[in-house]
Parts: sequence; C-alpha cells; structure tokens
Amino acid sequence: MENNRVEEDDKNAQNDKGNLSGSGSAKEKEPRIIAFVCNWCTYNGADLAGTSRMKYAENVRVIKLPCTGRIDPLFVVEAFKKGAKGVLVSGCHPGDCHYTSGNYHSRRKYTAFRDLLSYFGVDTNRVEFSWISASEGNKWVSVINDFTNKIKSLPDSSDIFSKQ
Amino acid sequence: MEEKYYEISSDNIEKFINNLVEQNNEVIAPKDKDSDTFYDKITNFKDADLNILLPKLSFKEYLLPKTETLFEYSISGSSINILDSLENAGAARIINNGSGGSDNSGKKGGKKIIFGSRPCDAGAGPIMEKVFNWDYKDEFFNEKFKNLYIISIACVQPDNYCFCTEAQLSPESSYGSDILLKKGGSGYYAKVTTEKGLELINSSSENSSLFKEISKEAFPADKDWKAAFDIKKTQGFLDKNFTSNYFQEKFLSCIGCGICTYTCPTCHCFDIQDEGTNEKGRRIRNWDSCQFGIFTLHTSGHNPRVTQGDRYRQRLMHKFKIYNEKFNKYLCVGCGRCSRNCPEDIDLKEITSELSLMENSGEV
Amino acid sequence: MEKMNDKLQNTAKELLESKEVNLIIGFAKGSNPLRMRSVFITDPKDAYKISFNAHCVQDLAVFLKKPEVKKFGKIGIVVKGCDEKAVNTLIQEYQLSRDNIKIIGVECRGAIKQNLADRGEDSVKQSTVYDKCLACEVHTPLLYDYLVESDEPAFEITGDVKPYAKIEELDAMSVEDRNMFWQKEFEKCIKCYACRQACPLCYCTRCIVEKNTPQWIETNIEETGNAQWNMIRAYHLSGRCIGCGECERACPVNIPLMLVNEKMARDVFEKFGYKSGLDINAKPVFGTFDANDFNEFIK
Repeated sequence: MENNRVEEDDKNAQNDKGNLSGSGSAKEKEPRIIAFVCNWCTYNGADLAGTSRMKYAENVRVIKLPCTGRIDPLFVVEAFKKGAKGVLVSGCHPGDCHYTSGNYHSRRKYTAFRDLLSYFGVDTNRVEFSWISASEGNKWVSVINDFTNKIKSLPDSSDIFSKQ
Repeated sequence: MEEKYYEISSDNIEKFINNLVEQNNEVIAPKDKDSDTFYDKITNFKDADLNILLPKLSFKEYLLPKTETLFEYSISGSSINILDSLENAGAARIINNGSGGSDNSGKKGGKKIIFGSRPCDAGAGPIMEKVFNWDYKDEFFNEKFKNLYIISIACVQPDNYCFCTEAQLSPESSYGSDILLKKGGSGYYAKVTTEKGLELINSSSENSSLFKEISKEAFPADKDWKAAFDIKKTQGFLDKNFTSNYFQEKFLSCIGCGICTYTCPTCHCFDIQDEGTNEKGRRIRNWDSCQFGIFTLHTSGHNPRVTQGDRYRQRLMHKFKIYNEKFNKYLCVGCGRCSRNCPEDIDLKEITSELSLMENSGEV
Repeated sequence: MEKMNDKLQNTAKELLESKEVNLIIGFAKGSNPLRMRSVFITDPKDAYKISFNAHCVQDLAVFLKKPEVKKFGKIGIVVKGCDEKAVNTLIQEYQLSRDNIKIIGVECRGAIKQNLADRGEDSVKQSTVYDKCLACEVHTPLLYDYLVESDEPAFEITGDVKPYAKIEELDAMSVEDRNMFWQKEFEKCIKCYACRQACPLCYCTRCIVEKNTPQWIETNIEETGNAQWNMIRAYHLSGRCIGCGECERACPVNIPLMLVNEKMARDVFEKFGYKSGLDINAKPVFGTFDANDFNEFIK
C-alpha cells in the first residue's frame, strides 16, 4: 500500500517536472507555484484546508520543511531555475515558532533577499511570504488563490536564473 | 609554405578590415569597454583600439570557450535523443559559442578573424594546439583553431611585465600569426607565414590589390631583443627544487583567486560537468584553474596540493618544466597578464627571473 | 610618510622581538613604484621592508582566513580603517580570537584607484581615490592595539559628492531595465571566483558553488550560472560586507560589485539600523532578530 503511494507520487513528480520546465501544450502553460512551508503551522493549515474540503488553485506544489528558518533563499533560486513562476514561503506567526525564533530569523533573511532580487531586476511579486497557522485553512486558501491570480496576471517574462 | 612579404598603407589596412567584415566574417579586435580594453567583435575598423599594449583578457575564449557544450540529450518516453554538438548542430554554432557563451550569430561559412592581437597572444594558439592533440585529438578545439585567422601587430614597446623575449618569442615574432603586421613605411609591412594568411589577402580581388608584394629584404628586420634572464635556468631550478621552501614562503601572499590562469592565453584546464533534469540536459566543459583548492581534491578527502604554495608551484612547474619536457617549448608566452591583473601583485616575470638566478643555489 | 614608516617598522620589530606575535602582515614595495603588495615578516630583521602609502589598496585581512597563515598563531596585521572592519567582523563571527591578533592600525588618507595608478597616477585627490574613500568614516581605525598616525593632510572634497551614485540611478529604473543592466554585467563574468577569494569575509572552507549534491549554482559560465553565482555571493555578504571593495578591484572583467554590496549595506541599515564591522561585541545582523522587525511584505 505504502509502496504504491510512493510510486504514484513519483509519477506525479515526473509529470510536474515536465510542467516546471514549461514547454509545449496549452495545458502546460499554467504557471507553476512552489510553496515552501513549515512543518508545524502552515503545513497543518494547508492540511486543514484539505480535510475541510476547501478548494484552491491547483498551481501550487507544497514542499514541507521543519521551519521557515530552514528555508534558505537558495531554495527560491532553485525553484526559479527549474521554471517556477512564483514561490511562496510560509510559516508560523511571529511568536508561535515551534523552535522559538526560526521565523524571526527567516523574516530578516527574506527582507534582505527580496531587496536583492528587486535590485537585480527580478519581479518581487513572484516571491510571497506569509504567516499561516495550523488553524488558518481559510487563510491558506485565500493566500494561494490571490498569489496564483497575481502570478497569472504578470507578463510572461523570463528571469535571470533560467533561460526560457 | 614560403613566407611572403607585403606593404600596405594605413588607409588600405582600414579598407581591408572593413572588407573582411563585409564579407560576412566575424572580426574580433581589442575594443574599449568600461575604460578597459577587451577583445570583442567589431563592425568597423574604427572600433578597434590599436593603441594599447594588450587587452585585459586574451582571446583564449575563441579557442576554448568559457563554457562549451559537448553534447545534449533529451528524453521523451522511452526514447533518448543525443545531440552531438560537433555533428548535429553544425560547426557554425560551436564556433560561434566563443564570445559571451551563447551563439550570437548564425553566420555560416564566415571566418573568425582576430585583428590587432599581439605576437604573444598569437603564439598561444599553437602552444595550446599541441596539448589538445598529443594524445586525444580534441575536435572541439581543432575545429575552432582551424577557423580562427590571426592578424597580429608587432609590439614596439613592451612594458615592465612583458617577458615574451625570455619566453622564447619576441615582440615581433610571427609564431602563431597568419599575418604579422609591423608599423613602418606608408603604414604597415606585412609578413604572411601561412596559407590562411594568404587566403585572407586573396579573399577578393579588391583585397589583394590593397597589398603590394615586396621582397624579404625590404621587410624591416627584427630589433635585437635581449632576454633579461635565461628561462632555461628557471627550468633548471624547477628541475631540482620541487620541495623548496621558496614556494611556500613566496606564495603566502597568493589568495588563490585564479585570475592568473583565467587571464592567461595558454592556461587551458577545464572541468567537465553535467547539467540537466530527467528530460533534457547537456554535458559541458567550463574553464577551471589549478589555483583552486578543490581542483585536486580527491573524493576520499585527500588533497595532494594542500597549500597555495603547492598550487602556484604547480603553475610554474607546468609552464616552465613539464610542458617543456614534452613539447620543447614553454607553456607561457610572456604576455604578463597574470602579473598585471594579480590583485596581490604577484609578478611572474620577477619570479621566473629570480628563480633563474637561484638555479645553482641548491635547496632554498 | 617617513615618520609613518619608521613607526610601523619599529612597532613590527618590537612585536616580533618580544614574541608577542609570530608573524606580521604588512605592506611592502610592489612590482612597480606605484604598486604595493603584502609582505609576511617573521624575522625582526626584515621589519624594514614594511611601509605604507596611498597605493596600499589590498585588504590584508583576507589572509587571516588562509590556513597557511592561521598556522602562525599570534599574528600582527597592518590595517587601514576599512580593512580593520573586516577584522572586527571576523571576530564577531568567531573566525578569529581577539587575543590572537595585534592590530596595527594606520591612519589612511584614501587609496588611489589601482587602474589609475597603473597609468601613472600618484596623487590622492577626490577624483583618484576609490568611492569608499569618499564616504569613509574610519580614516582612523575603530579598533587597534597600535596606531600609526598619518603625516599627510586629508584630501579635499569639493562639491556634492555622491559615492556609488549609480545605485540611485538603478533604484530609479524599472525592474526590466535593472534586469537588463545586471544581465549585461553578469554576462562578462568568467567565474574565476576572484571576488570570493579576495573577500576577507568569504571564509567558508567549502563554498556553495563547490557543493554539487544538489548543484545549487549551475557550473556553466553563461547567463544563468553567472547570475546565480553573483546573486548568492551578494546575498551571503549582505549585512556582512564591510565595503573594502576588494572584490571589485580584483574582478578582471570589471563587474561593479560594490554597487551590489553597497546597496545591500544601505538596505540593511535602513531596515535594521545595522552597519557591519563597527563593534566586535555586536551580534551579526542575521544572527539576531527583533520581534518588531520590518514585516510589511508578509501576508
């Protein structure tokens, strides 16, 4: 049973990759969004949205990490390299971090990182940051939907990390 | 072939270069860029900056691109498609990979012509060619070498970092040049040593009419350039003093930036890397440098060249001993770029000359 | 200059003789009269080699990260005000123990741009010094064990001086134009990593570009690989760069790296009120946080 699931996941992952590098048919034109989320708050928030049968944009692919403090801005660059159009980083509200201060550190890092992206001419609309707690399934849905709409409204330009 | 000599006026050389541009060739010359000079494509003779001694980088990237694709692959379903960069993409694309990495023009059949290089830079071509052909024949290099035409201009006044004479060339050497120009007369005298040089001159009737053939005697003789030190003695020191403390002390000031190797016209080390995903990718080779610690780092964690002294010693050994033992020539043209560009002011001429004086001093 | 050099040499000599340090890193005459280079002195008899002038462009603190140099244990180092900030940062980040370093600070009146000096420039003027010198707040080093005062007058600054004026120009551009500007700059990059090697604060024994599982930074020397490298270099130095400008000076293809470093320094100061390298007891800006930090971009 477990094994089957893994295989299934693998297949999905492969299909995703095709989409990520973004070429070909109209169906694949849907922009891909990567969400790096923390294990304790946002992931559970997203889970809540799922178990509550709330619907949100299919463009997002969630990658779970222990804490926003673990989400190195390099991950964002990596996502862009692989063709993602938008990247969301999300974790616990200030004061709620499971590891006390990971989200505070992360906030500082991303403040600088966003400035740098913007300075190099990458549209900062493509990087979103949010605090979503385990009880905020609603917020997850609205953040994802808003972000997806925003990404869709952006001109289809390449960035300096990936050749189009 | 038998050498031929010509005379050409300043106006005519301008016409000649502009004609070459018009004939669909890519002409590369020293060009002013950010208050420095680099080899770059020119569209008119006037773009070329011929007053400077040397551009900051050599034209090595036109022979060995910074990044060169060896092959590409793509996978769809169960079929795997491999694109041989030499065969499939056609020579034109690979050759054009030279400047700035991406193929910047689709000019098929056009030649690549370096104009206004110095004899040192020109000499680097055949020196590298030996390495790329002694065992394995490197077609990527050869293809580009074959299609690169070099018109160089003899130096009048080398600077303090130059040591081409010591490195067995000279400011007026024609080694590696297809056409060597020397200032004089109504403009330039030209010495043509290769078929490729003749091919350029005879590329159109107008071009050949610009050149007036003269006798060998009418061509100005080389000045009597004197070497300030004997490079054989430098080699003599290196032969005997592998473990000398000299290297460790001298290169404490080396920060291992690799600028010396990257700006060197003859340094040719590269690193082969794979890039790609499950669907598509490519194998590339990038410039690399023996000055990096990771260059010799084994998977086991052992590194035979531990210190920067070891690494700079390797550079000296390769240039003035190892290469010479194999090809009876030095892997250095004495352009002095490594010294001029070194952020820590390590001067290769100073070092080689210092070593030549230490030849018989034994272990230091 | 004579007085300055005497004092420098005497200090170095005494430190070596008393065995307070095993090595002195200083400046000495270089390959031509307008170039200086680093010198490593272990014997008091060699202290006469040390000197200082406006051509001492190098940041000697870069050697403090070198394993071959670290081996000497206690080290004395000649630093200008800007370079000294690098020593501070190294201490702040636990790369160096204050007890192991004797700082011989020199009062600096500005360093002449090396590319100009190579063309014969020998006077310290507003138009010949580096941009960092125009905005310099540390002509006298902030922290030192010995101070060697300058006997030269300060150069005159006239008019409205804007160091790194290009930054404001870039800020005013559209995102696309900025992208174009940097793409063009990064296209020149030959990935020699001299910017990293010349930086006193790039001390990782294994750089991110040398990590290949996964290959975070593409190895190619083309648009993408170059942009990724320059991006991550700048990011790793934001809030840390002390503005010595060695990366830019070393760059063989003249990428204006200080425009990036300075921009990040300004942003970090604006957002977190932090300037790097001023205080060895301060926490590095990204090693700490404030509950009331800038939060505007977060949903």
